Amino acid sequence: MDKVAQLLRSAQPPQIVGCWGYGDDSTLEVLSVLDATCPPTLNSSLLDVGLSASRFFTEREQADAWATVAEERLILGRDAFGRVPLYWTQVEHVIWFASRSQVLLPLLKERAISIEAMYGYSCFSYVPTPLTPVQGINAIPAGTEMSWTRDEQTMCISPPQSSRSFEWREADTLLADESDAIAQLQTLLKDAIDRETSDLGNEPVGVLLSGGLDSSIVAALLVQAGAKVRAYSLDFGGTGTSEYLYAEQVAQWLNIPLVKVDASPQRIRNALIPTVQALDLPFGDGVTVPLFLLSEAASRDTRVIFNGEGGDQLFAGWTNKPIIAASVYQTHHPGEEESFTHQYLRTFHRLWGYEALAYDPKVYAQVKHLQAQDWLQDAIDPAFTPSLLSRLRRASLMLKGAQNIHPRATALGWAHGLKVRSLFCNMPLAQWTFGLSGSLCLQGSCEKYILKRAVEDWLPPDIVWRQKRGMGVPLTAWCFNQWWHDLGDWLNPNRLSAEQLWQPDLAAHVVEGKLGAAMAGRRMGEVLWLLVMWEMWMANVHQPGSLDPHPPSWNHLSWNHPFWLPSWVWKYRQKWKE
Amino acid sequence: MKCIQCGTDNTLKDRTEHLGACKNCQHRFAFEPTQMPAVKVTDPMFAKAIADLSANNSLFYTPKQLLYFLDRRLRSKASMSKAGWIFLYFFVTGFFSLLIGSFLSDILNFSLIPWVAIVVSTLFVYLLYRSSRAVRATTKQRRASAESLIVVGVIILVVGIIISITIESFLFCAFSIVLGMMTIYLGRLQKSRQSEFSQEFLIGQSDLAEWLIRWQNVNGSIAQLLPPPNEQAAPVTISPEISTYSFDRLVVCDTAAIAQLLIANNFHFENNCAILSITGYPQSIFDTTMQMLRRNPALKVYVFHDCSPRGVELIHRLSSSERWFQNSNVVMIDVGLLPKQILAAQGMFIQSSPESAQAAKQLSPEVRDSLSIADVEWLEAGNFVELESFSPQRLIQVLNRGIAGTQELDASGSDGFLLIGDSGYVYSTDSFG
Repeated sequence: MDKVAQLLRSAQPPQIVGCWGYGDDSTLEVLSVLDATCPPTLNSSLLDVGLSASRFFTEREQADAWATVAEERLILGRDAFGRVPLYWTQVEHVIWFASRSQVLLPLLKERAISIEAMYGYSCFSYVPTPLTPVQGINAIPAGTEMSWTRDEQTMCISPPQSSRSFEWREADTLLADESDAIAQLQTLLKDAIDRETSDLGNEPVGVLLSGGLDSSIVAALLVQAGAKVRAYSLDFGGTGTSEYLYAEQVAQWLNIPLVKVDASPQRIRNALIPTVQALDLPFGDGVTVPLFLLSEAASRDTRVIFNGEGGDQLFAGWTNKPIIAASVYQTHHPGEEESFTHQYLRTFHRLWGYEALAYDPKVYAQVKHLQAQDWLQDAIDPAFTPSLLSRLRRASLMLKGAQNIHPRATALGWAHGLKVRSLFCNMPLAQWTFGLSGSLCLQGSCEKYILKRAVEDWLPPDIVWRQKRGMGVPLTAWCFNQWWHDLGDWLNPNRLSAEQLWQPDLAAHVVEGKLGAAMAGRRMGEVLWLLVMWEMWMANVHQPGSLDPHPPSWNHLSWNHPFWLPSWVWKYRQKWKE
Repeated sequence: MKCIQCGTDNTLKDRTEHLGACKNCQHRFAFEPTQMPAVKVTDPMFAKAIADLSANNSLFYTPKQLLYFLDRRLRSKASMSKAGWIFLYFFVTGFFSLLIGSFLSDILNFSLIPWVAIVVSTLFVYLLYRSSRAVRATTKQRRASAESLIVVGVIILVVGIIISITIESFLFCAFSIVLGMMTIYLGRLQKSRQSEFSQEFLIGQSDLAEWLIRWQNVNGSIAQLLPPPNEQAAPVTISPEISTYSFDRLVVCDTAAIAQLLIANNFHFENNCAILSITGYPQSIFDTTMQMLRRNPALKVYVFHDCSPRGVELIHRLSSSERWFQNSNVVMIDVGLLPKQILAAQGMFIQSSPESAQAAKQLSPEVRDSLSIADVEWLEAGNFVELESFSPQRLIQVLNRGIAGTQELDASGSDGFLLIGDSGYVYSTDSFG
């Protein structure tokens, strides 16, 4: 029981932690929930615990992740949206589980990196479930239940059984009537917001307002529902694609206060380590630290935040368009005719295809036998979704949504004690979209058509009908300017060499364009950031203290990289070389 | 020559003894430079050219792009810098003046060295002048020759005056001043006229075809080299669930080769755009793609073309053709090569042909009105520059910049759009400049 106590002490609320099986010749059953309001306790009488991103501890029916003990059986499960993660590891005859992977790390005899997980991370910018970056710790995939049974006679536990508790599937008949669809969608959106605001009372709520369609709809519906709304929006300080003006327009239209959150490169740099610790697993998208700053700002005023995450997945956002373009020109590509899986894989735009140039030779020898497409097969299975847009919706919900967007949003909100509510993570609404005809989602080149039609009276026309291209975090500009010298520390060749995972000069090769013509412009910043987040995770979560996150001492630093030069000198040198 | 497989250096003797194979790994050499009559190519040089053109095998390219690229590489090996010309001038003038001058002085018993120097200088100036307009030299090489003319002119002027004072000869002084001033004038003139001179290939298409066969026989096919575009393909059916949608934008090229290049390099995927050529490539999906494009009322058309009569009239052809956008209000944006960019830029591979001159003279009045007098004159001289003279990476960069630039202009509400005719608004970018 010492281990259990230690586990509880190291865990931060809100969290599920527990163990189950046979320990020290006796039956072990400890499920516990950790709440910020009471000290951690061992509770062997609990048989069913549930955790929700939007309400913390809740009934099994409303939970996003749950643990249940029944009839010599342990069941761990997660809902289909994947808002709350759940991890487990087996030590002898005991299954240990927690909703944060860090809690399980002390149980491991050694903390070896999973090369498979690292490869998945480098392809997608998140670690695909059921992998985690640490060998021996496993994740429960979203929409899945895993179960173990005990054998009293042998005092052993069975291998885990995995079963899908939910599948996203296309409806048998598709709704094509536009006016019917608009009316139904308006009702569904209003029902969804009623459900999310029913317990709020007079409590003020925050909304993370990007100025895009989805978050603006959330803000509009909250105002319509009579909630006391305060909006938070990012200011990148003049670089990148500024969305702040659009957020301001929405706030004025809805007559709600808008808080401008400074997301300057200096603030991002300062918030890097707290963000990595809050995220628990490495997430390599550029939006993570800005979202951390937004949550931090919101936590000063409220306990509940709403976001617009999930709208792109449900209503065919702009990210579906490249697949359609690729499908049209498929037969004219000179290479082998690309499968749908390969086309989908290319939409992630990370290090897939650059394996030989990115990894340490020993790692590459293992990685080259892995097939990144295997992580996509289930999500793009046409057996569940025969039509293209439904297939893309299912894939987006199961991959980018459940493995990246939602778990990271929850982690960043929870780090500041915020309950995180996502309007579009509403099961009736999500299932309804699987009954929509594709042309109502993407009409011509107008993405999210039916959603725009349903809300066009609720928001300014500019906000509804403008073409959006995603949040433009100016990573490349920051990497080549304000973070130039930091890259020399964060991705120092000596660090990478010591880890024996990446090519030591990978960062220099990226900025010098040696990874090929496609690795240019915004892709450079995205890949550098992907590597930085991995290194920060290694230094601050996996082996805290093993690599000093602050600039290492002079004798540990390699100077064999371009980042010690002033960036303008390096740029001139590059120009001269060309 | 080094073996491209194992890096072992093989002398001619090694290559001969091993019947054209590497002495270490037995890998065959594709080229034997000592047996190549004019232009000499080595295996490492060819391998590096292929790797560099394709940005380390990450981009597809056309055979013509390879021709331009190899041509540039081979020229740069044989080119003379400005410093080289000046050194050669001093060496040649000094050597021959002393040799011939001393010989004649002994016979005539009169010092003729300065006069011989003037004669040699005149011949050298003529050589430089020829070099500054040589059709088989690059613009850069010709420019170096023109600039060398200016420097040589200054040297003739200064040294000539000093010598004339020393030998007290007014006639020599007059000759030196005339020759020096004339040389400076010629240098300045040639420097300013570089964009008017056309250029010829050092190597022919048949040479390249033969080299490719030799290379591929030894090293296998070149994966990134595109075959000629198939412009006879029968229509194929695109699934209705895909053809229901549209594209954000269209890129129209004036050649099938450039359209094929962009498609091969996934430009359509990265930019969610349709790519077609004015010739209708890809023929098999042309009609379906046009139907899809017509579903987007806010379509933007980016026109990507050579700097040629056919290229500059591309927008006009699109806006007046029933098959394209006649009576349509789509926004057309010119991101191709324009004469004003060529006239302002350096180092372009300018070609010339009577057919191009003829085509320029037949340009419609609307197109002529959109060009300056200098642009029209340049085109009517038969000049043209092909997009394929740029590397695939450069072309993609320019097109990306053109698209991104106009998106930013949209956002900022800039008034950088020029009205051409009454067919729509055209923004001319200077991306190539």
